[in-house]
Amino acid sequence: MKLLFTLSLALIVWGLFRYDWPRMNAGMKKEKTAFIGIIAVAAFLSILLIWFPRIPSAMKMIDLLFGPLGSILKT
Amino acid sequence: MPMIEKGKISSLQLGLAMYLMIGATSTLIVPAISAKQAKQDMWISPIWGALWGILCIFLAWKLERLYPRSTFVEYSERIVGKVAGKAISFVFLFFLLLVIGSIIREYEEFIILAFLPNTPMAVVVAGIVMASSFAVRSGLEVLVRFAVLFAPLFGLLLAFIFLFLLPDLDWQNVRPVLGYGVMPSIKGAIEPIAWFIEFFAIAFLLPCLRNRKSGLRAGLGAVLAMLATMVLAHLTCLLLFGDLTADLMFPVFSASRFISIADFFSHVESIVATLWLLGGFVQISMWQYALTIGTAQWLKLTDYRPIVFPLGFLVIAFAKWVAPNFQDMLAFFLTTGPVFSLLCLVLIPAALLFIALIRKSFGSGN
Amino acid sequence: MRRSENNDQAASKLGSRLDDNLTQLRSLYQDCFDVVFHEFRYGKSVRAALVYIAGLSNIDEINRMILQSAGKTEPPEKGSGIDAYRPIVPVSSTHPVSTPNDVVKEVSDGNPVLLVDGETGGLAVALASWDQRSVQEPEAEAVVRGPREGFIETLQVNTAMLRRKLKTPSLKMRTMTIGKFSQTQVVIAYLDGVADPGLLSEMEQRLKRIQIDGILETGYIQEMIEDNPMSPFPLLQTTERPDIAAAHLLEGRIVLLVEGTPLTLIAPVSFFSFLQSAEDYYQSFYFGTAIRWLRYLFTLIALIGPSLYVAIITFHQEMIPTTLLLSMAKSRELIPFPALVEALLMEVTFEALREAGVRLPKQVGAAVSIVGALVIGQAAISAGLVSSPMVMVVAVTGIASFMIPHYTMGIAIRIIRFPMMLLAGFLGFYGLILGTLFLLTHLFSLRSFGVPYMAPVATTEKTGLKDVLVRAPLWNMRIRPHFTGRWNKYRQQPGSSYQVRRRGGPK
Repeated sequence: MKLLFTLSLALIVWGLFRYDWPRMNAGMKKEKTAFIGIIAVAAFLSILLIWFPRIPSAMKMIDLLFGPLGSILKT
Repeated sequence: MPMIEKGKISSLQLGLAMYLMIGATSTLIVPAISAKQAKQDMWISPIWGALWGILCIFLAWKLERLYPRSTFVEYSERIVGKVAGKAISFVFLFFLLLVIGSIIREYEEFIILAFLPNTPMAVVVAGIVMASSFAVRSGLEVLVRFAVLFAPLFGLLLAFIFLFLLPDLDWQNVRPVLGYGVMPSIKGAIEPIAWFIEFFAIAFLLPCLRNRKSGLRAGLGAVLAMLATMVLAHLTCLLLFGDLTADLMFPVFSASRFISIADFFSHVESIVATLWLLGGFVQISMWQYALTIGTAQWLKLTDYRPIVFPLGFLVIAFAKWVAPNFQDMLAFFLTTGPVFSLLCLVLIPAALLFIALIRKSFGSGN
Repeated sequence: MRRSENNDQAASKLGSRLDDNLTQLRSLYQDCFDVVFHEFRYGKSVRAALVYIAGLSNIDEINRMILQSAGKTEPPEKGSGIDAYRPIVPVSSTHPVSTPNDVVKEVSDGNPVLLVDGETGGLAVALASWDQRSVQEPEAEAVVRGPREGFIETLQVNTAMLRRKLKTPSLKMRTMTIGKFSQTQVVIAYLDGVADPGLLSEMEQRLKRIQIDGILETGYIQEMIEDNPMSPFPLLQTTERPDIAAAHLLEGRIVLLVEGTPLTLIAPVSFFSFLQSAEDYYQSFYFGTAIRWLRYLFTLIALIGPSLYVAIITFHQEMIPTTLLLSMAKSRELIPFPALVEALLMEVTFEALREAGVRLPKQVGAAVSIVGALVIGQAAISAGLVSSPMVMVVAVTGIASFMIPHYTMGIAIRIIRFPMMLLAGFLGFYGLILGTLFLLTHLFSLRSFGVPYMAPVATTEKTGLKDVLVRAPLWNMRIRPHFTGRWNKYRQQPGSSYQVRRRGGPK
């Protein structure tokens, strides 16, 4: 199952490039870097989630920051 | 101020878009949450929420007045300087990602419950994100056309649910009104408030208004419409289910299952679910639009369209990352969630406004 | 080598020596047996020649007007110019030509060219005539009530028909020639003072940009000037009826007429004009409104009917009332295919039958396609390949798609049906909704010459809805549609609608 997801991930990334790269031809350097950058982050996160489903979730991270305040509302 | 978005929208389109942007999911699950605390006063909770909604509209509007045609990302840099501004915007963008992620998560749970019990979550999520990415890429004008089409249907739907259930409603459930004082309704208002303050997101759309002065009217109209819808939804659940509302995951949907007129009109819930999906589509698209425009401005890009699909990809990942399961997500909504929302949507904007006003009055220019 | 020589020759002017001119023209028209070079004399001494294409020019008139009296006429002084021959040729329209290119153009249009020895240039005489179809009712756009005239293939006849509908000098007709080998004449018709001048110049620009071998039909032009050529939806409307063309002109649109085809192009258009027919306006408005709603319903069925069926049967059986569910289950019991495959099979077969029926002779074709579909359906049911509910669904869908008045839109909807079926087959109701969202996104972002395709729905303009949701009575339609007609807003006098309703007519 994990392998299937990883493969579809690769397919998605390839598809993204095929679709958008030709439209960004004329020297839009910044957009290209942004494009690659965001895909990289997303791919990284996805791979993490596929292979290590138990990593602390985003909300857990926020909990760490605001934990004490949150428990006030619990009452 | 360089405007990446070239489209212009009218105040009606803005109002309807905001209505769906905040209202689509909230009517889905909020009644369950407010019921936990407020019990029979839960229908009063949205009123407290609406007050905060008005506050946020006002904040966004005032900031836009001071910095015409700029969005949050742009003027935060101008108010507190480049570094702090970029940091604040980053936090805000991260917040947006969380919001979208949780909205999608709620939707995915709902779709799996209502339509496709056997489909893996990733497929459902990918489907709706692809559709909304495609819509975002087509531009703001396309998005608001959807809103104008679906928002009235959505509102009417809720009215109809209420009307058709009228014979089954037990008005006794409202008693005792404010029997334990105001506190229960206020405690139950945490969640509605958390949703209503999202109206601050109007900050991303105000710069695109054709007629600048009508922004306040549109925003307030949206808040009122949402208030009406929410109160109606709460009342329906309260009067139908009473205390049981707190145990249901999607109370209004469950309520629609009860509708049956002359044994014929009995599968209304499919229509309800469909319209919900459509409203949710607009909601997700609008938030994704805010995220895309915000990111594009943060990175100072000339065109936001190339990053629409990459951000969509990121959103899919966030939808999974946001919480390990639905129960945890609900718990988060009750505790840390509102705090973070409050920070991003009220405290930071209020602080920015405050600083901006001080700067303006000292005539230190922009 | 030979081609460039000819081109050089063709561009240079005609001299005054008849023999030189004739040699030049004969080499241009080498191996063209139908081009006639007829030499004769004016009076006793002046040699002349007539160049024409047999079949394109009116031989009787040529004989009568030019040749019969040529021998007895005294020619003008040598060297007085070809214009001096105009009084001798008693035809209403003649004009001089100076290069072989001009000669080619005139001769191709059916106008014989007169060349006289000793005069430079030639004289083109308007005596074109050929066999053409008579004016009939267009088959694809038949109505129960309304005029039964349709455009034919000859451009001049068509422009004349339009002139009869709008007898005003404001009806302007600009002309253009497109196509390297076809040299097709294209006419841009519009109402001056009503149509948007910006639209007009945009249209001319797009037409000028076309560089193509030949224009054989408006479809060629349509594909070349569309805003979004990749979309399955038609962005320009076609019509064979002069009354529809005139109606669109009155609303501020532009009509393109093309030589050689009865179909005219109309731009800009919106999605909803494809779901309207001329008859809506000729019958009473109650009827018009009711038919309109019927059409909308059936268009929806044509689009998502099979998908809905597949989705419900495969994923959401609980939506079907129990009694119906039992009989459906019984009929599907022995079918080897899943519902999606069954649906695709039947739909494809039906489309094939329909397409085949188009090529058959009229009377046979219609019968064959419908009856054939049913018979094949019945046979398939007996063979256990498909279930009877499926055949019902396909038949209803087929009928629904026949309800769409304009063929181009009908094609678009028939095509879109298939991806929707696939989505519904894989993801059920959710897939169907996703498909609809994608489709709507595409539709909302389409523009036809700058006008939003889905106007007046979901735009901020509310008055247009009168003609979309219902068919408002004619006395209530005071304003032209916003996107095409706002330069001349009022169709009728203010207050007239009130007067019609109260007292049966304006004062």
